[in-house]
Amino acid sequence: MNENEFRDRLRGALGEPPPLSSPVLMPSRAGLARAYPRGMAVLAFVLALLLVIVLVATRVAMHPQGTNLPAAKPSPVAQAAPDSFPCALPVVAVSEAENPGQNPAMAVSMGFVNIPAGGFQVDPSAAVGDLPTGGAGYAGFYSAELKRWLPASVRTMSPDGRAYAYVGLLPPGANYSNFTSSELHIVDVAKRADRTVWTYKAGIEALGWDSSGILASTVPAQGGTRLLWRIDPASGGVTQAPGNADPNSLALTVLPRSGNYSYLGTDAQGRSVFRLGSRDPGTKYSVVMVQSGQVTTLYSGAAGDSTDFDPEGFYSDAHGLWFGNADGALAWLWSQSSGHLQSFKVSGLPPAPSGYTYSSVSFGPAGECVPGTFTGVAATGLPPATSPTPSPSPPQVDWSALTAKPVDLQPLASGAPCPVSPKVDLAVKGQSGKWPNYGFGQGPAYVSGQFMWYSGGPQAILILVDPKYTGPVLVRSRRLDGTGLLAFSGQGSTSLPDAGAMGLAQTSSPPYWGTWIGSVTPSAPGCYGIQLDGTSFSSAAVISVSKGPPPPG
Amino acid sequence: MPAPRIDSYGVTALDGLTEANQDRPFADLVTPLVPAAQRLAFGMLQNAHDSEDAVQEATFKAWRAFPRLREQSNIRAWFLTIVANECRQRRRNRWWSILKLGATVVEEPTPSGSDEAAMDLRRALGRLPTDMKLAIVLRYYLDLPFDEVGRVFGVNSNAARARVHRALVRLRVEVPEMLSDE
Repeated sequence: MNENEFRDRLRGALGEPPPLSSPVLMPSRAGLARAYPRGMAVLAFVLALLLVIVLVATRVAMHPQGTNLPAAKPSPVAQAAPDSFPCALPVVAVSEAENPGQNPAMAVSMGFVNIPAGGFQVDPSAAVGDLPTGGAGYAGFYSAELKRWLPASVRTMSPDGRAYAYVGLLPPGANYSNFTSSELHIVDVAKRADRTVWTYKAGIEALGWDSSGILASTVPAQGGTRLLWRIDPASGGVTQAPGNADPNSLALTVLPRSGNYSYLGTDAQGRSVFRLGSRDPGTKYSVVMVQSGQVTTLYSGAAGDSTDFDPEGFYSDAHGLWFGNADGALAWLWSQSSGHLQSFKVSGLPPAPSGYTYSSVSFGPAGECVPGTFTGVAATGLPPATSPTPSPSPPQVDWSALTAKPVDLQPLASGAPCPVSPKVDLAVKGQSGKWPNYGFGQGPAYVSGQFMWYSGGPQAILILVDPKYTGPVLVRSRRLDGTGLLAFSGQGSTSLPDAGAMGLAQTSSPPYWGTWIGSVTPSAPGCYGIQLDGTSFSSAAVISVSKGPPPPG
Repeated sequence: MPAPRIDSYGVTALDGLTEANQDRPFADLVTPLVPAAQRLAFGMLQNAHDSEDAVQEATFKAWRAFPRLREQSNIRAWFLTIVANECRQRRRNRWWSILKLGATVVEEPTPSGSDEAAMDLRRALGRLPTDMKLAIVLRYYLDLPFDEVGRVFGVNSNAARARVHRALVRLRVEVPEMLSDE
């Protein structure tokens, strides 16, 4: 396959980006001042003060005890004393594990971190399957109001905590690859009522829900202009919202105009939290909160410093702003009243599974920290890696019996043509994936993977072994028209330098073929023989190596 | 000269910048690059929504970094670097993707030729380390010359050539049927 063929094949595989729309730059709306009514500020302050008084009085009168979670929902506006513990912070813990070349494994646990002790317990009653979710996915959210988990996120929860929004893709059963339109639903959880409030010929995403309605964005199914909308959940009335209604766009106007930033979220009070600066070790960064154009710095430091504040996820309640940490080791609470950032060491998260090269556990807050201590069940981790085992212990093979076999690769007479082995048609069935249907040699072990071989770098090579032979295979090579060698490498092979050979201890597993993949690097162009020896056979393939680098593909 | 037409994603970000009434030079310079940015993001993320978000986010970041752009800089490579970093970050940030997608069906883009080989190649691309995938996408999906591929990676053209080559070798191992000339 040459470079252009590879390019065509890649484009065929990836497809083309969605068709281009042709929006125009909108006229300046800079003249539309973002007025902030002073009366609203005064009203908000008075309400906040009242709520603080109510909260404190409630706390004094109903001091929580025991292991059950009280249902009382603290006001999200008022600030409780930062040390009003114990409380149980709902979190969604995500365990991920991956081996190179395999699809990652993951598991999601919904539970609570008991503050201040930090112990995580899984909530065994955290099922959300009885509630509709649509086809657009969901995050776990714990509603203290309803005392249950919901298939929602802080963005999709109603201000009173009794309903949530979700998006369904149309036609029914569609996914993001083939949907044509979508509809916004609202579920009244207590009444089990699911109603459609808006249908639109684009993908809808709910960005937030506050007293002024649901803020949503739309993007056409095939790509194009992103628009913002405000939906009245009661009437279903829809009005287009300005571009700067998206909380994420706040950063454009109020944050320092340099460097990287990431948006962590916006709470019900319109407080948006951003991380400014990269995660590269040693890089200066800060975490800031933006509200009504005012920027408050929650923390400044250097990435990887001793504080290790690496926020992930965000939720605010009466205590303050809760964060998870990227490494899952800590929960954080920032109190607006004191300006103090407090950490809680978290334990009991799902353990790292065995058999994986990479694994991680992290969590994010998923609701308000409810008074009391939660007693659930201990978290269980992902099951160990199954097939293929990442670092298998190959069978012990006494290679001496195979290395004792003579190498029957005869040098060519000067000027003689290279007797390249003819292609043999095979019907290879591996344990997974597709494999070439050809090989070179007499079998039952064959060389495969290329028709053209080049000296300018490594090329992939396959050793295919017919399931009628299950034993080890020894691979040796010689240049037949001069001096040179083939260097083989790849996982699952045993290097036998004294014999100038490579051994494959594990080959076929009936009814499946053995399919070893590695690379071969010729030391020079020329004619090479590759001898494959098993306990019951010897097979040889001759290849011709051309000068130069292998072409793409 | 007609005003540059915004042909694709990033329009919201650019709308915002236009609203600021002071960023015409940035919008003028970046607007023609948005289709390439979209192509890069789509090649890397294989999802229309995610790629749109990535380009939007990258446009904001580019705007922030714009004052620090040196006059002699290659603006296309500079902008694509920001888009590539955004795509890297999104591939890394599993937390977000899990919460966002939850239990949804795995999204498969619809290639023009949706045969089995194309699916295998697409999946193999998805399994490649991010930088290897980026090298393949830049070279063969965006048709960038090696020196521009190098600028995105911050290396010279020879090193870029080596990166592309290593990615191809790895891809051949991932998709053995690609080895066939048949």
